[in-house]
Amino acid sequence: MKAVLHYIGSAKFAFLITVLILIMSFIGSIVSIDSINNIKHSFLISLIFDPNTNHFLDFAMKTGIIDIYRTPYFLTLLFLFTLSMVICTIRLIPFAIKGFNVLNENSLKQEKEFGSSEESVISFFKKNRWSLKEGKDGVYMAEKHKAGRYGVIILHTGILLVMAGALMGYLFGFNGFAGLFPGGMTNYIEENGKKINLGFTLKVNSFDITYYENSHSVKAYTTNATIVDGGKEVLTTDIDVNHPLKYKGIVFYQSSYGEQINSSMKFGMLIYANGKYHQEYLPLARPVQFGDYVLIVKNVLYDIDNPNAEKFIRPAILLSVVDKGGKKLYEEMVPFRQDVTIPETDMIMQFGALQNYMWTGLSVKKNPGTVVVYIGGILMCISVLMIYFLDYTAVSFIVRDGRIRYNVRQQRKYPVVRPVNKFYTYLEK
Amino acid sequence: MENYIDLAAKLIASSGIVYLIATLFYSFYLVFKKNMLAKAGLLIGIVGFIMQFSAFIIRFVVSYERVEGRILRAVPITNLYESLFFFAMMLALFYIIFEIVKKNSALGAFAFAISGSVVLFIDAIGAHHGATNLVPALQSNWLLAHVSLSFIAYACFAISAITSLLYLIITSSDKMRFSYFTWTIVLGISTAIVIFLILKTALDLNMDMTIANVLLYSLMVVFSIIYYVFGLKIKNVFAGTTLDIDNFESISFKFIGVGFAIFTIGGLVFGSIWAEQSWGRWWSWDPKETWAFITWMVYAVYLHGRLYGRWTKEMASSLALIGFLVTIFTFLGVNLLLSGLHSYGSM
Repeated sequence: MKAVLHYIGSAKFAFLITVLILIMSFIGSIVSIDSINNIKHSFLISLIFDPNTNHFLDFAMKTGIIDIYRTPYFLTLLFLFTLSMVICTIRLIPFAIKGFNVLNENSLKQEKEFGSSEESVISFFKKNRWSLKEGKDGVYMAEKHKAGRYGVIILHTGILLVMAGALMGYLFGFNGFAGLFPGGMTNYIEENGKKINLGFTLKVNSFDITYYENSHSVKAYTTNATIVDGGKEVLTTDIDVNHPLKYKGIVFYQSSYGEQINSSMKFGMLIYANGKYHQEYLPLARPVQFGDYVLIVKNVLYDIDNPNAEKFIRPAILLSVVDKGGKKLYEEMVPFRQDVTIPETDMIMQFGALQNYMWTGLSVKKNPGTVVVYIGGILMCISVLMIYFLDYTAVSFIVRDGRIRYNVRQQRKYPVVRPVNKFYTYLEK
Repeated sequence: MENYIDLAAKLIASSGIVYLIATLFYSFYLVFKKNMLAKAGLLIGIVGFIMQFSAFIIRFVVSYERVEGRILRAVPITNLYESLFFFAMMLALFYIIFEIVKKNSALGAFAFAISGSVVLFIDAIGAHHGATNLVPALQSNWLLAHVSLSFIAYACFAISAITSLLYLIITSSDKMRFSYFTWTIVLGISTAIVIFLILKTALDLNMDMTIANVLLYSLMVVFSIIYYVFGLKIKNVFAGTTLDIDNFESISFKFIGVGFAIFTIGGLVFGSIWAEQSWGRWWSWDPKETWAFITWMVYAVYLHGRLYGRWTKEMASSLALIGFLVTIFTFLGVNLLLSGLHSYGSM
């Protein structure tokens, strides 16, 4: 057991695992459904899989190379990598606690003529806030940046926390999706076809896309939503791409949108009647009283020129106008922004606006590991700075017969700041 | 507004030429060893930097108006053109600081050659010049911290690649060594990519994907072979110069160390926090993330190998060079070849 742990903690093993992880990440980054479909016609692949079928894609799905990061192989590698890092981090702890321990006169290899006394060296170190230790032969050791000894350990701990947070998210979190039309509400979401109860209700009030001035580029996607918990409206807010909604540990992100004919749609009609203009919003398939007449939108088309369209291009509605006595005066397809005259009346109508035809896609997530990941990230940031700025240094010295004998130990080879330089300038004086 | 953008584009293109003039002075310095030449090179390089920096400020002001006065979101590093020129500018700046602090002029020719070529390259391939509107995902205060720190780290890695490459070229003696293969192939691949992109734009080729790939790969093979065969002759170019080679290797190490720290903070940690806020997942194995992870791991391996003295200097330099090749792919390759969440930087 000890030998196995020793091997897992070895640099060789860590290197091997790293190379395997890098190779798998590389494959994962270039393989996608598109790339699989592109190369299935290539000669080599077509020898094994019939390019006219989806066999190659099925094969890729089954072996997991299409989503390599969730395969057992990759997760096992990550686990071994983490284990290896734990072992090697534990090995670093004894030095971090003890530090350098050069209190032996024989190890003071460097020597120099020195005019001042031992006290002046000690006061130099004290003035510069080095901590001093005295050995038995009268050898002193001054240490600076003791915290720097923990830099690498903290960095590794940070990475381990990130891994732990990822595991927590994987085990206890979910990542689902909710697609809603304005006016719609839901108290559950779906993750891979599985229903997950939210414990409260999310109501979408509106969804808007705003554009930059004089441009087709999108400036913002905004869903206005209300949380209803225990029958009460507790919170109403906008969800933007960079401003998610958080409630009871569940986060709602603006992730997608789309257009679809649906029952909450409204059709804006501009009606000229009795010498005046009227604005009227008609729902789908429900009669609306307008003066002495009844108006009904019986059907909608995405595009009057293309029955297969799936987005609104030049929409049209099947408009029906009935008079008081129930007589059908008009029933025809009315294209967008085109005037129609209703027979036997003085009315002219135009279908001029569409409302509530877009659904908003919210990605809904609960990840109890995020906090742990954040702490890990903060530790990583602090520790990389520690590694480069706090160079743990120990200077051992003894002053005798007008000479100073000393030894300098540094933890880092090329630190950004070298505290020992001050000591060297002091010696020159 | 468009006038200002044009002015900035002209300033940027001219700064490329100025950098190349600085390169010329530094090259003469390496040959004739007259300090005056290095000083002139530095001065010209600083002029180039000032021109580029002015262009940066102009674009900053223009986008400041576009984003309605939110200063943290106005930084012009939101597409391929802007990020490449930011990279070249940072490289020039770091080199200038390095030379002034270290009083070492040996690298000037190479640093300004790269800055100049990058600037002229973005001009030549006609990457998008205009100021673009920010897509919703980029409208965040993390933009400045994440993107600029990532590019500062890339610039550090670039400097380490220059010194590693020089170290490998000058110390190369045996064609059968791993390090010799590494530098000739890395140089071959880089040359091929640059020439391919320039050819494609200059000749306005609308090639079939397969033909384009075949052309690119054959260029890579041809240039790698050329460098492999004539590699030892390239070494002779530096024969008359006084380059402190051992120092180069430690410069690589220092810049990778600093770059790694900045990349960890700005690239990975800040990137994760931003991703968590806007996409809802702090890590989603998006191609850009995966390649950033690969880059980070390669440099982590380098630092471990180097710190524990396991490797020869040739081995360390070879890995530093491979690391930079991976960095270039993370930056350019992912944008141009793979699609994903980070698809802001296409041409």
